[in-house]
Amino acid sequence: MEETTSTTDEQDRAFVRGYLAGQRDAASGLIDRYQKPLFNVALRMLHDAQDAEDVTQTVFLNALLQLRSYDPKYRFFSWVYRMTVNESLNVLKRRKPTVALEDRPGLLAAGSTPDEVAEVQDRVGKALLELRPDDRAVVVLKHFMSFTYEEIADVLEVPVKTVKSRLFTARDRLREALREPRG
Amino acid sequence: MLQQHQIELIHREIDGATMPDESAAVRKLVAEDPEARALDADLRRVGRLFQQVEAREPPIHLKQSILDAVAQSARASPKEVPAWSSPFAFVRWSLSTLKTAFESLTEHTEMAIMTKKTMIIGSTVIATVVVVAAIATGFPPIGNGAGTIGGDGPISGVQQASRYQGRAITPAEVTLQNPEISVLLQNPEVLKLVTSEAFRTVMANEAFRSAMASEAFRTAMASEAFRTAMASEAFRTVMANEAYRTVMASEAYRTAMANEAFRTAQAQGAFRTAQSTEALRTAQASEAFRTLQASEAFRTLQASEAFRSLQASEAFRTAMASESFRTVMASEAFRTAMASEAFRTAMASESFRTAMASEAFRTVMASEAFRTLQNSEAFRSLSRSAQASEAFMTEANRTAQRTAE
Repeated sequence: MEETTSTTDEQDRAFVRGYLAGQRDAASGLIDRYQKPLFNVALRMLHDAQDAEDVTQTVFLNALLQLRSYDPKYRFFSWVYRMTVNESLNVLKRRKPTVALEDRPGLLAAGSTPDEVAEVQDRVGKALLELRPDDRAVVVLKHFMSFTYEEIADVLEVPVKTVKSRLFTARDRLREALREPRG
Repeated sequence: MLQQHQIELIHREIDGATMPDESAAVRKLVAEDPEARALDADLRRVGRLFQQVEAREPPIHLKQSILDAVAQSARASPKEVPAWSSPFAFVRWSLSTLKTAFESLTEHTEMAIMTKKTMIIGSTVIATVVVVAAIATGFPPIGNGAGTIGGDGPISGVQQASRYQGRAITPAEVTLQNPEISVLLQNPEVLKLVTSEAFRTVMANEAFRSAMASEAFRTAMASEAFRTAMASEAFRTVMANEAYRTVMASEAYRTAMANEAFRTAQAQGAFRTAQSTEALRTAQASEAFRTLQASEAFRTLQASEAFRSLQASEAFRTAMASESFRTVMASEAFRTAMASEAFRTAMASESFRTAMASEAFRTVMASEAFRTLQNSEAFRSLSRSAQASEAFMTEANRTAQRTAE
C-alpha cells in the first residue's frame, strides 16, 4: 500500500527525533526507508552501480551527521533526495568526459537480469547519460521515482515551470535516443 | 505543426497531470492530428521503456557500511573541540592513515608490493606521511604576539584564523613549564631548522595555514588516541627512516600530492570505507576495495603519470615495506584514530593538497635537522602535551624571527 505524503513525513520526523534522542534503531529505520530509492536515483543519474553505492553512503553519512542542524520545517524526504541528486552531480563533474560507457562497471554486469530487460536497462541508461545532468535529474525523479512536478521542484529547489521545461525537453531528446532501431 | 501549449498538454497528459477537460482536449487532438498522435505514441513508448527498468536492490552490505561509518564518525567527533589543538597533535592524527595502511601491509607482506590493493594503501600512506612531515616542520602558533603568524615580525601579513585564537601562551609559561623546549632549541640542528628559510616559508604558507584552520583538522586533532600514538617509540623510528625521508623529499611525491585525481579518490565514499581498519580486516574490506578500484576517481588516479612515478620509486617501496612502518601501525591508538571522519575530510581538502605539494615542505623534509628534531627525546616528551607542543612552536617561531632580525 502506498504511503501518503503526510504519513511519510510524520514517520520521517519520528525517526529524526528518535535519532537525535539517541535511539539506535532510528538511523536503521531511515536507511531501510530510503536506501533503495536513493541508490536507484544515483544509479540512474550515474549509470554506475559502484558510484551509486558511494553516493548513497555519502548521502546517508552526511544526512545523519547533520541531523542536528536539520531544519524540520523542511521535508526530510526532499532533503535526502536533494543531497543524492547533488552528490550525483558532483560525481559527474569529477568524471572524465572521455571515459567510454563500455569501460564502466555498468548495470548489465551486476545482476542476473534476463537479457531483454538488461538490454532495455542499458539502452535507457545510456540515453539518460546523453541528457544534460539537470534534465536527467528531472527525468529520473519523474520516471523512476514517480514524483509530481511539485515534488521534483521541491527536491531540486527550482520552480515547477522549470521542472516541466526540463522534463519536456529531455523527453523530446529521449524520443530520438530511444527510437527502435529499424530493421 | 503543433503549438507549444499543445505539446505541453500532451506531456502533461502522459504524466497524468491534466484536468478532465484538458484530458479530453488531448484525446481529441491526438485523434485528429497525426503529429500529435506521433508525439503521444512516442512519449508513451518512452514511458513504457522506463517502466521496464526495475528498481535495483542496493548492495546487501550498504546499510551496515553506513551504520559503521556513522558510528565511527560519531566516536571520532567529540562534541566540544578545544579552542586550540597542537601541531603535534595533528601529527599524531595524521599518522593514523599510516596505521591503517601498514596494518594491511603487515597482513599482506607476502603480496607483491605493487598489487592494486597496495597501491591504494600506498597512496594513503603518502598523503599521511606528507601531513606528518608538514606539521612537524612548522605550524602557525596561537595568538598574534611576537613570533606568530600574523604578528609583526618578518613573517607578518598572514592572518591567524579567528577561531584558532585561544589563550595566549606567555614566554614565562613556556620556559617554566616546558624545559624540554629549551633543550630542543639549544640543539644546533634543531636551531638550524627553525631558523631556516624553509621553516619560515612553511609557516607563512597560506595553503598550509588554511588547511590547519579547517574544522575537519581541528576535530581530528582532538583525539587522545593520536597523542598516544605520536608519543610512541615506533613513531620515532618511522620518523628516522631514511626511505621515508627520501619519499617525502621526492619530486614524484610532490607531484602526486598535487594531483586532482588523488584528492577526488580521497573524497570518495568508497575510498573512505576502504581506509577504515575494520574494512581492511574483514570480507567487507574486500568489497570496499573492489568498489574503490572500480570507481572512476581511482581509475583516473592510477592512470596519472605522477602516481605511477611515485609508486615506481625505490624509496617509496622501501618505506612501505620497512619493519619500522609496520611497527608503528601496531597500536590500538592508531586504529582508533584512523576511524575519524574528520581526518578523511581534511585529507580531501584543497588547501591540504596545495600545502602538501609546496616546495617548502619538500625542502624541510629533506633536511637533516628535521630528522634530528623528530628523533630527540625532548621532542617526544613535548608531543605528549598539546600545550607544550604549541609552546614549542611559539618559541621556535620566536627564535626564527630573532635570527632573521
